[in-house]
Amino acid sequence: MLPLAALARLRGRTYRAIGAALLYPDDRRLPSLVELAREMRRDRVLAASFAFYLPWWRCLDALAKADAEPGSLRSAYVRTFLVEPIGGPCVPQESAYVDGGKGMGEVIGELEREYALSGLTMAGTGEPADHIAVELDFMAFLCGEEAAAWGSDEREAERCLGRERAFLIAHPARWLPAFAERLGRAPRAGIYRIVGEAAHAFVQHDRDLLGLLATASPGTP
Amino acid sequence: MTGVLIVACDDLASACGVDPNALEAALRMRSGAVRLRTVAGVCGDARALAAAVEGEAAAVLALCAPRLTRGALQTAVRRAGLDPLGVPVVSLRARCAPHPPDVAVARAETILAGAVARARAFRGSRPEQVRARPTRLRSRRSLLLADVEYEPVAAVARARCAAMAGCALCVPICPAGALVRDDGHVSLDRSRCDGCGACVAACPREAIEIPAYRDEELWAEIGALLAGADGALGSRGIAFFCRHVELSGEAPGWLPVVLPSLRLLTPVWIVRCLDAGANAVAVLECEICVNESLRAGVAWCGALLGAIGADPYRARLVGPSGLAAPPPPAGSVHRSEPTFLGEAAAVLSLVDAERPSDGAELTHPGSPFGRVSVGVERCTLCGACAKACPTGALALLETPSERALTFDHACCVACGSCERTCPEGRGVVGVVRSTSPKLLRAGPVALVRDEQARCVRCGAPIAPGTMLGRVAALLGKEHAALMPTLMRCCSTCRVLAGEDHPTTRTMSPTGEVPLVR
Ligand SMILES: [Zn+2]
Ligand SMILES: [Zn+2]
Ligand SMILES: [Zn+2]
Repeated sequence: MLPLAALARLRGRTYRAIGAALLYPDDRRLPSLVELAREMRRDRVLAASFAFYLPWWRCLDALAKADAEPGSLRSAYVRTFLVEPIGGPCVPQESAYVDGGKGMGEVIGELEREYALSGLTMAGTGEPADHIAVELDFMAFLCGEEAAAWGSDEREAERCLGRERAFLIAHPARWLPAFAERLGRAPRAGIYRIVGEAAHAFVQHDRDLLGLLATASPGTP
Repeated sequence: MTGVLIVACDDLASACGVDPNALEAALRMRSGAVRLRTVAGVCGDARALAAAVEGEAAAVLALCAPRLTRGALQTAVRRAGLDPLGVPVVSLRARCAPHPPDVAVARAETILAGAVARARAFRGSRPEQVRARPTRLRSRRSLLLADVEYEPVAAVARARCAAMAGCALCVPICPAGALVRDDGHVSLDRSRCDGCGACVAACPREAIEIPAYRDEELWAEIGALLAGADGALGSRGIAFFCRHVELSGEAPGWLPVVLPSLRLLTPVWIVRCLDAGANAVAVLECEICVNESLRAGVAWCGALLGAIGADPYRARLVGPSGLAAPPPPAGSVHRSEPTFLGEAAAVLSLVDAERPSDGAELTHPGSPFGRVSVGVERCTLCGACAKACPTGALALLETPSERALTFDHACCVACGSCERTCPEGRGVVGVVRSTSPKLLRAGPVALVRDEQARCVRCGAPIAPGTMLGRVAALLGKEHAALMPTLMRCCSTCRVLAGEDHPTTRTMSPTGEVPLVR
């Protein structure tokens, strides 16, 4: 596989895994999340080239064992994201963090239009369009498109890179640091604190990496 | 004590004249829990390196000279589970090979002891403190062939930052223009920061840090370099240099401390080294890093040494050939326990060691301390300067009978905020760069004090006499009739008595007094 395609695939899978880890771990989702984490742990060569590796590896370690006690995992999820009374729960939604005069409806509308431009609609699983898992899943989708394009249509791959960067800056990178910071302070967040650290590190470094790729010339090796 | 693994190249003996076995024994004596593992060809083998470091809590790489890119070294260390910023890489060939065998081993041992101390002191890094180095990537396709190199960048801790109080000393200092002040906060544009550390040196509140170059991390290395008997090393000097310059040639007696940029270096660091027993401190000239303030700061160190009767040559900026001669021999040097001292304490400790008397005041453009003076006749004790002072060197002290403006020389960084904010205009508050051991020792002293005029009704302080005098002058003859009231009653009682604005007097029938201003 072309190195740039491999990188896009790795980034896409990482976005997907972080997003999936921040959804309610029901009987259907938990086994596939654990499976994905175990699979991703098998190949660390590429990921180790990037600075998000250490927090990400800690996160994979934790996710790979997440099915040991599903009950306590679920109560940690509910405590952290839905009900924790002190200072309110860590709402995993963009509209809870971004103000600037935008109401929740506006943020969601903007996102749904953005997804629709790529031919995507909400799956009807109940998460709103500004849920962290949905936004990261969209990043994963864009990375997948990029990975597929590197072998056939390089200009399309470049366009994908541009869209990834624009979406990342406009959405996840804007509010994820605040979300992760709140998660870090949440009492008894358990594994979700580790996921939050990994998400923060990954988004921060992916934003840098996309900036680096955007300024580099496309030239030959 | 954290166990530290030193991964050493098996060529050290032939390439650098350092026998690894002798090295390990010496380091155990000196640095406690240290293991040394020689690995064949590790200078150029990322896989072997990762395998050797795997699972360790802390590590140091003792290489002849790395043949891997920095990015590849970082990847290998990361793969083994360690933060690359916390794993010092020591190139021993340039540092030791030019020396006779016994000196080479002593140097390797000392330099590695410094690296071990630094690896132990490392406090980790947060995602926003690390950034991919932009210059390395020439084309997208080359990205994965030459690993991305990461470098530490500065981060501002808002909880410590005094921007809300008006401080922005770091903003104009940044050569990259990476710091901006908006809505009361200073924030850093990571894409512009190149991690030089000028802002770290400029911040009077220690609110900015660069991972791996925090005070305690740097000091751990310097302390270890200076600890222990002289032996084969002879007189010992600290040579500060930046990543733009490489140590070359023999440099006998000079122990290198590498900084991201010399802009991180405040003059007090030089004082700390001298106080902890360095015979001399040299700062290696670099076209990129050296600016007027660094020159002035190093010159101040020399002047301070001169003022206390020591050799001013023990602190200086040097060119590439400046390290050819060893540091001057001991002479007046003492070697204290290398504990980290604050700015004023470090200066006083050096002064005390050399000349235990108070020492004269030294006025110098490179002084890291400032001395504020206030024109007593014109100061109204309004306290605007104290409010603007980012370090709390100026403070307004209020008791029922007195108001005083106090000044603590040890905290003053000569930023001039007080000078600029004084509402009485130019010339009332003045700052000069100067260092006075006597004042450093004295703690806060009152610059201006005045009795408070007290309210005749309730006894509360109204204002200092000087301020009332100033108000009287401003009111002039036309409104002079107001003055007796102003001087007699506090603002609350004036309102209650209806002397300010009669319409606001609203006594409630129950006797409660709603205060309307
Ligand atoms: Zn070697
Ligand atoms: Zn330099
Ligand atoms: Zn009163």
